[in-house]
Amino acid sequence: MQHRFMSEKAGHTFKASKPRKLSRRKFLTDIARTACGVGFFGLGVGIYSKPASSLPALALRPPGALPEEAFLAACTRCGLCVRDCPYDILKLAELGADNVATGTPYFTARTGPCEMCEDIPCVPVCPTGALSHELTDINKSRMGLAVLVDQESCIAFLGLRCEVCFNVCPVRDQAIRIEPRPNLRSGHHALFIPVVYSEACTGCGLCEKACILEEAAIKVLPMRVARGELGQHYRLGWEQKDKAGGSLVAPDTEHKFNLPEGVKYDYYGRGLVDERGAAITMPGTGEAATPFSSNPLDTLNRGIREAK
Amino acid sequence: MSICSLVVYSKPENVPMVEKQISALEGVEINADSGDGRLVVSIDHPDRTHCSKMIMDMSAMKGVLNTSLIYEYYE
Amino acid sequence: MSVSRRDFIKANAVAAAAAAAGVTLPGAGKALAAGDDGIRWDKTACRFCGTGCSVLVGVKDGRVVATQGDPDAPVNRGLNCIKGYFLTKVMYGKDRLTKPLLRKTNGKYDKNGAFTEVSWDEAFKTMAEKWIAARKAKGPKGIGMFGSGQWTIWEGYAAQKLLKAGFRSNSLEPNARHCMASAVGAFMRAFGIDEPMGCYDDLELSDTFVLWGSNMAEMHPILWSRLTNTRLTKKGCEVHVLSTFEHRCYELADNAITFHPQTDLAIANYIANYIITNKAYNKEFVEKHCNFKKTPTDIGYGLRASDPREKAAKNRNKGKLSSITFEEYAASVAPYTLEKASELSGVPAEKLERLAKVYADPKRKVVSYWTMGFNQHTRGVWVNGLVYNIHLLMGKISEPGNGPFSLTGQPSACGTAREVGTFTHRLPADYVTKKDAHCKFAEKIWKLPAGTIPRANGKTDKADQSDISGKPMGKTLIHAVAMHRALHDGKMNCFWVMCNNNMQAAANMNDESYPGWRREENFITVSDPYPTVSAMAADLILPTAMWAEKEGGYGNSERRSQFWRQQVKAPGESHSDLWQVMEFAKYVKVKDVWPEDLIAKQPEVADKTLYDVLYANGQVDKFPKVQVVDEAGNKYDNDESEYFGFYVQKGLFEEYRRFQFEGKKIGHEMAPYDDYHKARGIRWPFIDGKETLWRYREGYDPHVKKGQGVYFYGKPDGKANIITAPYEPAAEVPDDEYNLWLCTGRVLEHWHSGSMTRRVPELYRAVPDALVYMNKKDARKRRLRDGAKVKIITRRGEIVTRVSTRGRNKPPQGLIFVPWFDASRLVNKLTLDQTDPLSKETDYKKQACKVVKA
Repeated sequence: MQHRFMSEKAGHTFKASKPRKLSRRKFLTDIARTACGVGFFGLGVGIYSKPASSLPALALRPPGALPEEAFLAACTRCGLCVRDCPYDILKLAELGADNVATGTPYFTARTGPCEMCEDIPCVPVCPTGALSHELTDINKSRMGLAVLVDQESCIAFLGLRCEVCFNVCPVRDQAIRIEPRPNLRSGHHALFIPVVYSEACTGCGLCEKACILEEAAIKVLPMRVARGELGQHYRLGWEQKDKAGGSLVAPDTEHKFNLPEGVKYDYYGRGLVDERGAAITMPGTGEAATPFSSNPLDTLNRGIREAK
Repeated sequence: MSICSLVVYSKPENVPMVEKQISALEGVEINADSGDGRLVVSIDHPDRTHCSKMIMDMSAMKGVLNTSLIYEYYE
Repeated sequence: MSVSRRDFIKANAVAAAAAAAGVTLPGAGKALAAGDDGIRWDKTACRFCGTGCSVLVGVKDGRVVATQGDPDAPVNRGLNCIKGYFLTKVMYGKDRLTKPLLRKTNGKYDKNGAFTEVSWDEAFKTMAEKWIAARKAKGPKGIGMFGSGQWTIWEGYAAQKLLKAGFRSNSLEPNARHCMASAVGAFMRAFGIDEPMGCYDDLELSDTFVLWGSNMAEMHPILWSRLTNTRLTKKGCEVHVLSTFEHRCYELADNAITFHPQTDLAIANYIANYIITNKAYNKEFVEKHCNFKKTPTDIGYGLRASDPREKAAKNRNKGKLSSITFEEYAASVAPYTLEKASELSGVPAEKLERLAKVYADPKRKVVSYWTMGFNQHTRGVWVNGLVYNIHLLMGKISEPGNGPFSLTGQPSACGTAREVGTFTHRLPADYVTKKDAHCKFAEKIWKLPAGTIPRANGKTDKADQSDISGKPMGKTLIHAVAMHRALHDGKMNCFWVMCNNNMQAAANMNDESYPGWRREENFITVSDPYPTVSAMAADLILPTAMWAEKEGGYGNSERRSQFWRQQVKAPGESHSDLWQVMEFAKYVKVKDVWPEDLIAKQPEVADKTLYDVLYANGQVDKFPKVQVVDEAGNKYDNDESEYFGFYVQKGLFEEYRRFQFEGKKIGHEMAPYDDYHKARGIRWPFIDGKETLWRYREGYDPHVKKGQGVYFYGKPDGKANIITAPYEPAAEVPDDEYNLWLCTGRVLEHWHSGSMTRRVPELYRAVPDALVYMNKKDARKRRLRDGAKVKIITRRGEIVTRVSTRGRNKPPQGLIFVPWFDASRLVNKLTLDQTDPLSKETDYKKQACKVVKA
């Protein structure tokens, strides 16, 4: 089963189903593209459609790419990075694509995310340093930032047990962490909320690819679009304390409490602890494919691979 | 089965003629008319090659300037 | 494809084109939103794990178009895991089998022929001929059936009758043998009645949760969600997690314990020792409610008798208990000091002590949960029992918030495999083929002559049972792993695999399973909706209706039985397992499989078919076929009733219920058939219209009399057994060449062998391949980087996959973890067919392997 969009505009409006005005330029390029396409007609719709397809708006740059302006200036469109990508996920932008300069390398998270090779073969081959050779640890690359763009459709927020994005993340438990919260609706279950931490997210896009929704709820966005910025005046107290290795002002004094024998009060932790027994408890307050042919006989007659 | 949608372009004055021809095609339906020469057309047919033929027929149709395939679904 | 779905896609297609053209589409939004109209909603039970979530299924135009977690179900309250989210898609894989397929050459059956479409009639005729011949030639073990904990209750019951009473063979096993047998063995030994005493409410009522060999976070996702909520909202709540590798549950653990494989035996004994030496045990409870026993040691590893490890075992396969005193028991655990346990297990002493303290603390409520880490264990029955020992010593059992709880893996491992007893040694409701009286009781209910059912030892009234083979019946028990060995050796010639994928699931595929199935004279039948690995290795494939394509009933881990109505029709010529079992019975005559002296006891059956004597027996067929309707008046199909002409499921269930009420064993009572269609599951024992939440406890359990307090009525004196068992090493320990432990298991996204979930594109995309999870240092030592292609090699075979050092499972150095869902990387080529000698359950968690660059 296959879905195919021939226009990125359609891709957007598919969900929102809001009409969108065609710009004159877009209108003309559509016509031009179709004109090219007619020549391929004999090869069937699938191939016909190919030249008609345009680049996705959310194209991402390979690891180590300089900031966009500097990157465009440095990139010679030589295609060596594309050649050396072992997973063939890098593409060169074709003529007429929005937002991606023709001939520059990019990848699309949903269909082909960066597989995060430890030796980053695409970077050293770059002749101009548009992909910075200083990047030697793939975990330090920042191709973009994963953002959970749609909490309403993400099934984790609904209390379902998914966590696929968390599980596929190559910097697991750092870039995406699961933060459990009580599910107030059911009263008996927890929500397992995926939270992206920008200090570790490489923007590889594996999470976006793996998202099980029809349209991914987690998307990798270019860094400048994705990040908010905290006011310069404000510091996070707990981080500052960690960095300083202790309280920035005089530490709290030791507290003592009037307590019955055998009961402790864990001021910073569990609170009242009854050593005579338990802690005092409070009552609880686009279609992808599968590896199977549609004809079962194909599978059956293939036999069991490698079996004796 | 295969479902496609296209935008069919023609001069506004030729739209009635084009519409008439398209309605005669098997499995093809006109879903909207922009009023300025663009028609939203869908093809729904079990056979994918039929869809591809319909697209070609429409492209070659008298009065049609161009067709633009937008969406294709097949299984 | 139904009209509604097509309209939906078309509406999307048109909307996309209209958007591209900038055209406002009149009514487009309406067309998209109209999808919800005319949907018929009904409840079903999820067909994946043993949690037993209730799922609402929306049907329109004969197709399931929508689902939702059932907000009224107490288990899941509207929630589902990701497999449940895609539940309905498992029925709509593009390669559903729709016709029986038989291997043929030139129009004739040929073991090496190509799969060819045949009629059901030809399929069953061919099969019956083979089965009758094998039964005659090779005796009761010449044929075998391998069923499932995913069978509905009546499917298991119908198969039970077909094999044990019809074919007079005890060669019936469920895949639950691979999954729950150790838990069953330990329940029977300690309490005399199978299944947990507590229920899921303990997830809210306890304040300490201990996970022993259970990755609940991935394998029982909704229960984990409840446990997490309690941990987050209840002050002082603690979670202790024990495993041989770090997994998802560690993220919540207050005390995470990674121990060396097999040393859970030592840890559990240390805790008992801690409780005794600190005099923390509940003296009154122990005196009133417990007996002390010991079990033979050095019992082997369930391997073939020729294996040197078996020859070396002093008490191979022995499990007969003998009584000891409390002092003897105390002395038996005394060697397991903190130092010794810490040294054996590799766990820091303070972690072990912290664990022991929560058990020993009389004010703390503790629930212990476990799954495959305990059950798939060459000392599975022992280690299950060791945890019962701890709970019994403390009296922390059978009350709200306190108790040991073995989580079941499959949706009806309890409801079907265990309660109906589709094991070689079992009959319904905990009766066993080992006991002559139990067999006679079953024969009476089934209206069959005494001596029909083969006894375990082949003797009734102390005389040999006669057999169609002309020889005495002989010993009749054969467990799952032994079945594959018998096929391999040509002792069993016919095998029917239903509702599971045993070629992929059974251990040691290269040396045992595959050569056995493909042996020239063997005839293998596989019933499945999809072309699985098992189907590929079969000779006859029967296309099967699944889950909501039939009326069904499952029983979950907490004794909750849930029914559903048939929601849609199965594709093509598919039929349910129930239909297949009953229809096949029409192709075999009583005189084909029963000896003359048995027929002489009931001569009128001679020319009848097995169908006539088993199902058209005046009992099973006594409820007329009815139009199934729900409370709202919606109508439902029931294809089996339609075909056979009576309410098949109800007839089978009501006959089965007689086992619960008419015999000597109490405590299995279930509600009448129709009650279940109205309820979101009912927890047995069900007496006088009331369900039972905690068993064996006065006030909660109607079988416990006033003043008894606690009464373990499964045992004659009402006392549970505390059974001592030592630490003994695993069968295959890593050495210089095979220098890593190999542990196999599951992942959240896929169910078992993946034959369903790998056909859901979204789940396949989420987790396409089985990776080998490996410690970074182990990888570096072998010059492997993340994602590198590697070969995993054991003494039995090798597979190729990729390394993950940063995945969801983080093994310690010296151990790797490989999931078994992936049909293109069959990890059971590597595993050893070792079992617990008592429960006969395979240990998939411990074998030696090496990993090299591929």
